Amino acid sequence: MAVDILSVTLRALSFLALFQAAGIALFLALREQQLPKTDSALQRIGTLAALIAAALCLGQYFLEAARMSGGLDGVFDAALQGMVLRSAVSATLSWRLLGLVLIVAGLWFRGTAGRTAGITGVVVLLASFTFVGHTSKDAVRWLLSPVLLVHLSAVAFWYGSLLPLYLVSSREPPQTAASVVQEFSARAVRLVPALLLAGLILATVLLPNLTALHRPYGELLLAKVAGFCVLMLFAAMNRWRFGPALRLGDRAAGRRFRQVVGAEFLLLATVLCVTAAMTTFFSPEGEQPHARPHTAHADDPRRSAIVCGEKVVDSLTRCL
Amino acid sequence: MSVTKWISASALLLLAAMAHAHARLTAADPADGSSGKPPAYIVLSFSEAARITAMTLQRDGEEPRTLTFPPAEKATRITVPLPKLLPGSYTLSWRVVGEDSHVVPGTLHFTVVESPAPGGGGA
Repeated sequence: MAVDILSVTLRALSFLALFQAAGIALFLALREQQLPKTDSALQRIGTLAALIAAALCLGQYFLEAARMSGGLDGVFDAALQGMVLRSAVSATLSWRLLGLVLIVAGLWFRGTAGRTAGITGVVVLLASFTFVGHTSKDAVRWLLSPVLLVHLSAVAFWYGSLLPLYLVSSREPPQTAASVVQEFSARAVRLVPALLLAGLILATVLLPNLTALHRPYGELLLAKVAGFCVLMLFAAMNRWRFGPALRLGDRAAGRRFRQVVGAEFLLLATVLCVTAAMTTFFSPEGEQPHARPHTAHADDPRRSAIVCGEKVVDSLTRCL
Repeated sequence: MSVTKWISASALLLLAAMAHAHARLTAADPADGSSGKPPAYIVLSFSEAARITAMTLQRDGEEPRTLTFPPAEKATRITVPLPKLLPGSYTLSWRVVGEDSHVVPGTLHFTVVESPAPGGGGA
């Protein structure tokens, strides 16, 4: 159990760092103007996020053998490490590290080369999420994988842009800040339907029926949807109220804008952590937990792997 | 090439690398909650090919003991020999890796109500 908690913690933290690095790379690659007072800070933060993400991914990789054995001693089991090395987990790590290297290159090279490296890095990084997990098992994975890629790209851009927006609104002149916010809002308007549609397709294909929404995977999915609705409220406040007020140089509006951006950041970070736990411990199939036997005592809550996941989530909730 | 086209082309190229399925237990012998003579083997059947990476057997009130199982390729039906078991309640715990590379833990309980044949050792 301790190994599982440690593993999911590393996974959640790696999600935060990976999406931050990817988001900053996208923000810098897609922006339409130079930001003299913010660019260098974003390069440093993006690089730091990429380095932290790489370290967390490596830690999670070595811990995989421990998860296989059920104890930390598995880390030193050569046979299990060999098994991990030959698995899709290894390919996932390789693609993530490659993506992170390209992202860092994209952050520091200017012009088309930097932009190309950054976007390539983001695509490689996010594609690695389709190598393992629930979407990779389905008969219609040809549909699920690109849809997941769209979903993750939208999340990466949104989540990863919040920190840059915070810095821009506090460092750049009001006109520049307002223009960058407007640029982000215009993209976000196109992102929301893509995010929603991709999420809807994933849920429709992965969930076997509506009753699955009452099981742990479905409940966590509903929690994500609720978080998304609150996020929309925050986004609307910034798009229609505080963002435009930035242009007027209204300091109070700037402060409010940053507060709302901070709230969005925390909310999305929570959603990413919930996703890390959800996709580690639960299956969308619902009725049949990972390893519950079809036997006389199958209704005993202590006797299924799903309870293992529930306990971990409970423990994490208490820790938080 | 525009950024959008570039991303689309990259995404399509990456689709070739995707695969895999997901394992869950569909049956076990001895069954969970069953009682009877000491089994010589445990047989686990999974919905998809899976590979056992750890397995322990614990008799009530005793420390869990690690079971050895032959290294094998992934299979939907896995048979593991058991040591000779004394009467008592047992908990079998395992971890398997499915086609989607997820580590999946599981447990089942069974009770041995008869002693093994004379001359057999205990668990």
